[in-house]
Amino acid sequence: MSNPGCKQTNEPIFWGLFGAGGMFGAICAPALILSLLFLYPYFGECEQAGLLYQFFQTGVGRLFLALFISLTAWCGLHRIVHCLHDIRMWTAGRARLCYALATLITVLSVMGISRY
Amino acid sequence: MADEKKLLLKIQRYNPERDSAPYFAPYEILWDDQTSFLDALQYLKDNVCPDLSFRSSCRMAICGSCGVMIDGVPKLACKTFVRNYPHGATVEPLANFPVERDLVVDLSHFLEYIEALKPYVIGNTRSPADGPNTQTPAQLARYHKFSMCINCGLCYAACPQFGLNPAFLGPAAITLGHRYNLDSRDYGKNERLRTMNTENGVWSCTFVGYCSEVCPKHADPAAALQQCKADSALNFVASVLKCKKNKEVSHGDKT
Amino acid sequence: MATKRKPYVREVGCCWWKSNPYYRFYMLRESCSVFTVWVSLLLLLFLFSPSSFAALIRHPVICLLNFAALLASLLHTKTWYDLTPKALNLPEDKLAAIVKWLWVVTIAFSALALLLSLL
Repeated sequence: MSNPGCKQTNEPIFWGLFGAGGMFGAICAPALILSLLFLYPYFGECEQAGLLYQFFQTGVGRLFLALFISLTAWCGLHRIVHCLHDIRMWTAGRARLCYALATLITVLSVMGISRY
Repeated sequence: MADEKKLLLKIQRYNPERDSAPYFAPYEILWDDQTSFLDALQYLKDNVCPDLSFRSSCRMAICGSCGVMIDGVPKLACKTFVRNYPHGATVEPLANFPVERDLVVDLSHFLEYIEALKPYVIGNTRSPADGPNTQTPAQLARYHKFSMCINCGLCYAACPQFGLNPAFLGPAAITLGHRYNLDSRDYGKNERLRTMNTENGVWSCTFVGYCSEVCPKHADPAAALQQCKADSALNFVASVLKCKKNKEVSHGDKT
Repeated sequence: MATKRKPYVREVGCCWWKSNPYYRFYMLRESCSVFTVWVSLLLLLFLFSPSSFAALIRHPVICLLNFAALLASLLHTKTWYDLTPKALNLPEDKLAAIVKWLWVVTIAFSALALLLSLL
């Protein structure tokens, strides 16, 4: 009898992305949230924008941001998949939907690198 | 017992021949500072309700028989003292296992999973003539913590993932497997990883961490699971590189 | 002889985590992921259109959400550093040293990023 729970899973791929995004987020998220979501209107939109905001106009800066956006999205959505399992919600297709959203965010963020 | 005090315990009772569902019954016990919950249960069985069923053996936290939920927390009855519950307590059978009768649960899942992970030295071809198979203190230290498990099942009662999915191999079994994976005398790691690599293997774990919190021997199953995930992920990468994924394993295919 | 066994299985519902403080904290830790995704989406908007991003984050409700996201990110950092190093099979003192260095890196990055934001 074939039991789906007894096959080698692809989970290591998602776990790897979760781990990378989790570590990236742990190191960078608090500072980036403070800087971009709170200080940006005051220090980024003025005439002499802060150095960090200027950095995010360069290719390297935007690559860094795109990496942050996509990896933390993988981390967050992977956790949401397991969280939904924990509260017994939305059994069918939750993983496919969440990972599709993460893929979409990845593609969009890569497209966003060149838009400056 | 000079200063005997009275206390109310609410104990979950269930008689499969009579009851359709478990219920709580109140019992008054006498206790002093040295009374463990196991002593209290034995007192009740001897004096109040001879039909009360519970498992126990060594009375000293080494046999792992007397696991129960005390106020909803998995504990060894022999290692938990009534003096720490001055306002009374509830005693239930270990969570996440089927209840056979009163405080006795069916551990057969758990025992099956321990067997599935082959917690013994595999593939060592030494014979007694080769002399003792020595280990350095550093080699011992790699797995020593994980070898402390007494198979009491408290970590299974603490694990919501086992509760949600009883096919999950669970903390203690995987910890025991990992203990042998880390043993320098063992060569069975790849064999065990085939079982661990599955969805019901290490990948059901979400690092709740409560297993390590309740473990009476501080075997730290949560850490073992996390290390097994790292091993399993490396194994996954290796098998992708070698283009031979072991799709099916024997565990769970018994029917 | 027919068996008299009738094992009683206690069903696990969707609210199992409410009864135990340890589980409640676990759910809090996991639900931080909603804010992680929220921040991702906001920063995606920043990549494409900084001006509409700036207009959006001025909205008081968004501001409140972002404050929650900041707290969530701090909780993520704390819990991440407490748990993740356990994947390495190292003695306690070496694990403690790794966690210490992770905090040093985090604080250094944060200080640098905030300083560069203001300059």
